[in-house]
Amino acid sequence: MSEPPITDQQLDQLYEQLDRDLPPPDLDAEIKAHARQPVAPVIPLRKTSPLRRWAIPLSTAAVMVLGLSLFFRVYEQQPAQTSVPAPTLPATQEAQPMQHEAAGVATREARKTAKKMLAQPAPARPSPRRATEQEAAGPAQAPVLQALSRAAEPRPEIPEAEQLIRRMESLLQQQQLESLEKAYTDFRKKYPHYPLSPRLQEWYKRQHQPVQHPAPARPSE
Amino acid sequence: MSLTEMDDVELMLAYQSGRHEAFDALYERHKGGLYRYFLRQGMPRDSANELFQDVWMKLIHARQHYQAGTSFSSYLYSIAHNRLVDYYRRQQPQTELDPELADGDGLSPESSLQQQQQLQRLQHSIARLPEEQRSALLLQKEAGLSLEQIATVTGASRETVKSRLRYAMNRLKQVLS
Repeated sequence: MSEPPITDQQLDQLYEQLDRDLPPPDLDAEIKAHARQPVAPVIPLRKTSPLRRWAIPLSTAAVMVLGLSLFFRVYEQQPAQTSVPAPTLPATQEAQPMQHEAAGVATREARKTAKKMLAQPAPARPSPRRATEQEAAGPAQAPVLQALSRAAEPRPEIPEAEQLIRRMESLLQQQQLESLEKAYTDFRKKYPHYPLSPRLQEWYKRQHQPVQHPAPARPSE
Repeated sequence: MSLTEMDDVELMLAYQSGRHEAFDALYERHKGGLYRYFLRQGMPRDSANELFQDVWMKLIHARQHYQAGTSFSSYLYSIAHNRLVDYYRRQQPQTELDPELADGDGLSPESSLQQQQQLQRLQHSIARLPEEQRSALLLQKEAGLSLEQIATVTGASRETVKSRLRYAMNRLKQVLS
């Protein structure tokens, strides 16, 4: 036989009879002692002036602008520097001394011009047509740069065939016909179809005139 | 005005203004209910001690932020409830029942210590209630909160709280009958 269900009131009474547990005294003491400690002072946020607040972003932006402008300026100047052609290797040993001589002359000329330009007083204002590299280098050094760049410009190379033709002409002038003949043979080995100068053509016609054969008679119809 | 005549809010405001003895009075009023609120959840006594201390420490540190608009009990038990929810989140539910309570399972109603056993069974049954029902019951029994206050503390509606309490009471009556 089951017991009758207990009522809410009986349950409340039963609940009231439960142990009235309390925290241990040492915990009480610890909490009360903690409550007596002063409140940690709230540190106010330091007010910074707007100038100070913007100092780092502004300086960063300034550095970036300067860096970029410097980069682009250098980038613009680079093509002018790289456009100077590297010295080409001569095709033949005969042409080599001439090219060296030409380069030496060009360098000497450039140095002379540069010295003259440096000795002259700098112009008051650079002309607006000056290139950006001159502006970047400053008005005083602009003429020097111009002279140097002119000297550095590649001179038109004399083709080897022309050089040989000139040599043959000089041999013809000196009437060294045997050497001329030999030079001509070498020349034609290298350049079978290269046109000769008028004087050499005349000499060639004289020397190598083909034997005249009578033209064969046309058969009459 | 003496401290004994002051209500909870006045004591808290007095403590806020630097009267440390006001805190002692407040603590003496609420320490038992708050301690049992944790202990009767069925957790080990050490855990109850830790949570109890945490709640008071938080109250002490945040005393400057207390506003007189809300009931002090609601304020205190809101901290306690949040701390309890946090505790349960970290623990596996119902895995560490207080050993003192766990012994109650094998009790016989025919024992000569029937009354004592029934109390132990009640305590054990409370600890075995679903978490929401148990919290609502203990907030009512130990903190003396109204349905509205329990709803505020637990973040549930008044009707939900009422329902939870009814289920909890029915469950306990069923076990004890």
